[in-house]
Amino acid sequence: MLEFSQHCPVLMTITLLVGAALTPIVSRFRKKLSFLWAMFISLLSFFFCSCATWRLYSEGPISYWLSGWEPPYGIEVRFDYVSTITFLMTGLGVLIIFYSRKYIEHEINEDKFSLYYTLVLLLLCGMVGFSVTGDMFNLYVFLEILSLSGYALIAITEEKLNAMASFKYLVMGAISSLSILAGIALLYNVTGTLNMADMALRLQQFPPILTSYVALVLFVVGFSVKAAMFPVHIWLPDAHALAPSPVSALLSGLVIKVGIVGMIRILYTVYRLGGNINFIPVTNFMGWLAAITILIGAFFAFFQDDIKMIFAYSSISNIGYIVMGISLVSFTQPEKGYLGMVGGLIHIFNHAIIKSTLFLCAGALIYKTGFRKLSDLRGMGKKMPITCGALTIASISIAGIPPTSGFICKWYIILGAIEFGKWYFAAALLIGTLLVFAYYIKIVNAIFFREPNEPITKVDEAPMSMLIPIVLLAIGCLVLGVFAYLPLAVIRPAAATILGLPSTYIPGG
Amino acid sequence: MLEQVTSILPFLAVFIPIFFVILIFIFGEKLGIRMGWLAFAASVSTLFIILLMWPGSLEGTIFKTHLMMIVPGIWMFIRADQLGLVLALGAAILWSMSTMHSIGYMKGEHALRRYFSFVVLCLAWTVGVATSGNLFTYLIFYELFSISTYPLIVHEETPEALAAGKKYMIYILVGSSFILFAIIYTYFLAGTLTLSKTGILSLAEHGRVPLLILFWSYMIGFGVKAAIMPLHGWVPDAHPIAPAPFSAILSGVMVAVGTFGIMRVTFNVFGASLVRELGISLPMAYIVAFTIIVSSLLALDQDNLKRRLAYSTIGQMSYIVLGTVLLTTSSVWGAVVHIVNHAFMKGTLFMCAGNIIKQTGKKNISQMRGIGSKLPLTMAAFTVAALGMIGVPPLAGFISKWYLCIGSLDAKEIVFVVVLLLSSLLGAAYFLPIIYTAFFQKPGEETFPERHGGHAEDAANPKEKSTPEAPKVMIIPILVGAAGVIIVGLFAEIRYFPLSVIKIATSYFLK
Repeated sequence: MLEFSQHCPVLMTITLLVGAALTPIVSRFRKKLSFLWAMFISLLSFFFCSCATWRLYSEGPISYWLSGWEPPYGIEVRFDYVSTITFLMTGLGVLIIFYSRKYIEHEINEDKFSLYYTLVLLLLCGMVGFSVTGDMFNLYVFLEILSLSGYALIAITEEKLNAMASFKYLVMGAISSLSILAGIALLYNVTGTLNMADMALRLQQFPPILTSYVALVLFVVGFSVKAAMFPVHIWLPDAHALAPSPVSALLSGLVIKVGIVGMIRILYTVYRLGGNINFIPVTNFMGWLAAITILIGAFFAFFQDDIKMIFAYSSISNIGYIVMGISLVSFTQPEKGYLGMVGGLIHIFNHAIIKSTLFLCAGALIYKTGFRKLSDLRGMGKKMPITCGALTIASISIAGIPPTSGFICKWYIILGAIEFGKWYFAAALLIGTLLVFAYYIKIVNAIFFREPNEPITKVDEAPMSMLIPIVLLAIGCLVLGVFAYLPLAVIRPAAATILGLPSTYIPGG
Repeated sequence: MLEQVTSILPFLAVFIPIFFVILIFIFGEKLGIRMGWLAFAASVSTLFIILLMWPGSLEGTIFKTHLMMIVPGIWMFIRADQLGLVLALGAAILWSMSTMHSIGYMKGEHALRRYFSFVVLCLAWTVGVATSGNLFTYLIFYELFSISTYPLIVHEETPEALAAGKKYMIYILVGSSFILFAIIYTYFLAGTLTLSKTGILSLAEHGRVPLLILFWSYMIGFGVKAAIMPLHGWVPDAHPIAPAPFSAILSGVMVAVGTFGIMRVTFNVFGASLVRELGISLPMAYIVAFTIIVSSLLALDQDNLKRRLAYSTIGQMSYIVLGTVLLTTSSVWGAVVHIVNHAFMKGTLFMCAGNIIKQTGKKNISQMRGIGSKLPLTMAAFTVAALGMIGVPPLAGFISKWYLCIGSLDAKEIVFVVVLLLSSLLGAAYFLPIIYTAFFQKPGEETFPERHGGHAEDAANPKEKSTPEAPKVMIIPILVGAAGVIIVGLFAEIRYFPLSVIKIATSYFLK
């Protein structure tokens, strides 16, 4: 078993890649097979991921050398505590593919079905590969895989607006990819290696030089675009709101988190070890940007009437929470940054689950009614009680009302901000969540308490294949809040190792 | 004397209502209005469990349950101490009355299952707030309570109800943000959130400025719910718009949860001696004294009965806060016992207002001429409760005011005695005209407009012609309430009545 689990990080990536490539061939035999095939592949990779995660918590991080070449020369696949996000990615992937079966009939042409599943699997492959690789160039390759499949998935409905949104995303994404590639090239120039751990070691040996700092800035800019930080968030609302709902769930729940994972890898794996990062106060700067991002996202969400547009803007706001959390660190006193880091990391998980719930619920509403404006969705609570109930639970969670899962990050990040004496960050977070709640109360009001414009007929509860993922995720929103120590058991070692503390670190102990 | 025992009782008190909510949710559609009896059963079972803890509490026992760890190091911790039990008792009694009243009042209304589910859920959260052993648990129940109230406030689903609900949410959530911040800051300073008998903070260790920031954050946060001016804006809108039995709960207990928070902060987080050292009790006392006078003056101006009652609630809550921050033994007795007394009185008053609305459709006091002869029992109960509010001896309100006045004298602050007496006077000025209108004025043109072809709204109401007394389910609760007003007034000093439990609590809070 141990021997087998050693291979899992690679197997799960390869499974998704090969599965994606074979999907069009499988669908040649019978159209419907492409769904079953995608389910099978995603379940298989979820299984591999579970094995790898189990191994991580029993034996410690896995370092796998492709074809047995030793790391600085060969490619290293590294499954460490940060990589546990792949567990979330593959798990959500299974649910979202399950959900897609009925939903895509509504928005996508029938001859595009196999293409859709191919792209979803590729997207998952890109994210999983990105999170487990220990090699800078592979990082870039997987980033491109997931970005390209993302652009295609947004445009797959063949609507004109979607093409526009996809193009906007593509332009911004290309800029970010270019700056990341340039950053990698500069770092390679300085260190002569592409392996992250090796890079960090070699950076330590040099005095801080300009090139490595230019690279750092390029990385931060590049990953900020991917994560949709202010002021480079402009691509996100259209892209996430117009994409088919399961794709929106993937993009908002997971793909923007890839930018965060990238930032963590660069800042804390490569640069933290590799010399004096405080030369440019990059984390301080990111904290301020995060505060603005929180407020801007929440503010604009308030004025939207399109339900998916609201969720898209709220994603921007939530990315702000996460970045604020991971930027509340001090490189001289790593213990001090622990709480903020835990808050940021746990929100990666919780936000993925909450936002997927929201988008899938929105999808169910759109699938059944064809409407996406709040004013048209009035009174749906009586017709689709389960969907709307799940939507309400997720709304309360994302507003951070205890004991739901959205609350945990607020607790830790504010604690972290107070620890650093940064009151204004705590204030920004609290004001942000207030705004968030204000617009979610608008949604709940519309679906439950307002009279419909015209009597609703012929609308009933969404089909089972959509309800099961929705209900599971909504339960997740509650369970991860009430039993917060479960995800925290995963997050705490991750936060500690990112900061260079022992993985069993307990604050104050 | 004080011992802490691990017991399942506080846990049951919180979770039995939740069990009933599940029952209501499953069987509600089939039962129709009869599901109100399920809600009533939930309230009575909770009351029974609280009464099981009551004798032990008199002996000085504190019941506690560690439920589970939420985040590492912080437990969901339920602990029924004397102060908490008094609030829980008041809540359970009021809920029993209110749910029974709802069976009559809500007949023929829409969305009954939602109404009863959330009413019972609110009971669970209130008992949870009352029996929270640490601030984290407190925050969880407090927020759940705030959220669960929303569907009940907007129950009518009219634009006015939604506007009132929106106002409520904005006020409460801004308040919650302050509370959340304050609790996190407390955790940062003290390293613990467990409520202790004499406070968890100290001046020497934490310094003056952080403690002042902390205190005022708590006061703003809880002040919103306790309707301390100028944070009271949501009360006059939200209380009248909710269905009457729930208005009774809102005014009777929900607002008191805010004052209860202030008590917890004063006694269990800061501790009485630290509050004295910081010298923050007098500024707070002046703010609430201002609230008492101004809210009474505003109440005079209201013609809508429920709105007038809502303004009266604002003033009464400030009594409780005043007694708390004066920090003398008698004033604290008066403050805590006023939670229960006020729940009885204001609950009864709102349910009476509900009976009037249900039977006659009248909401304004000016329309209520001669209504006493139409609804004799309702108005009799109303009179008893109103006299109690004014503070006529030997009714419930008198006991609280008596101790509050003695407490003010002990604190050597004569000005608050004057404020309390003035407030009684104003109370008389806004309650007695209602009674006068109801019993001693002949039904005039305004009361029966249809005789002269008056305005259509009243004429369209078929109940107008003969207004029989309300059905039994609506009469029994208000009679129980009125009897309660008399009994807790007359027998206040007898063992097993709330005051004796409060005396134990103050004996260790004010050490």
